[in-house]
Amino acid sequence: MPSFSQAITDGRIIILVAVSQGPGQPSLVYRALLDTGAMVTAIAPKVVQDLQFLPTGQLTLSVASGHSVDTFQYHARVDIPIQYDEAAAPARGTGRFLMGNQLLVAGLPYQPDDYDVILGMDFIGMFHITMYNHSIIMSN
Amino acid sequence: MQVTHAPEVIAELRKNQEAYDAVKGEMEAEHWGRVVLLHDGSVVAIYNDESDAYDIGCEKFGLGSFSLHRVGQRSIDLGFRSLSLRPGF
Repeated sequence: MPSFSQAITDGRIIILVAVSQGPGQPSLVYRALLDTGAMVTAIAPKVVQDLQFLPTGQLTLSVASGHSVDTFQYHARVDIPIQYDEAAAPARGTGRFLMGNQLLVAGLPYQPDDYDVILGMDFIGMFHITMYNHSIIMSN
Repeated sequence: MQVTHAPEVIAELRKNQEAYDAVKGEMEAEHWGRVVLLHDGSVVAIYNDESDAYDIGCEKFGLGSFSLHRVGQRSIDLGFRSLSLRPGF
């Protein structure tokens, strides 16, 4: 089964993801926090600006303090570096073989310091995930 | 860094949100979990898949000129890490 592993550092799992507006659209690579506490995937203002996303709706985010924040919803394709059938899926952009999906994502109202994407349970749930020996192993 | 979008894009979103709010009860009774495509303050169609709704919205109206609304969606919890979203929260 194609898979990749990533060390868990400082109690967090940060991986690289490719984000685009959809198949055939330009993609860029960003640092993403894998967060099982987040219901949905979210993108930071930097991603919206870089890829010139336009909103497909509005959302209300509940943050841990109990406050609510109104923000935008976008449609994005998010891929992670899981290798799969080369013939069926030629290499894209960075030369990696990627596996992911298109989904409605929330716009983060503020720019986090060291990542640009939060991978929430809508995305995480698509993969087989194992945590062992201070690493995470993701496969499809 | 804060995100801003063109006034006409925001106006379209607001018009569509008002249109959705007007039929929200009916939608939640009959189409829970599906995705509603709205344009110019009217419901255009209802889809099972958000990517289908997005593709058709782009094709018919162009990105920025339609809205997608998942029926039954409430406020979204971003969890403990969201504490880092804003100093002072």
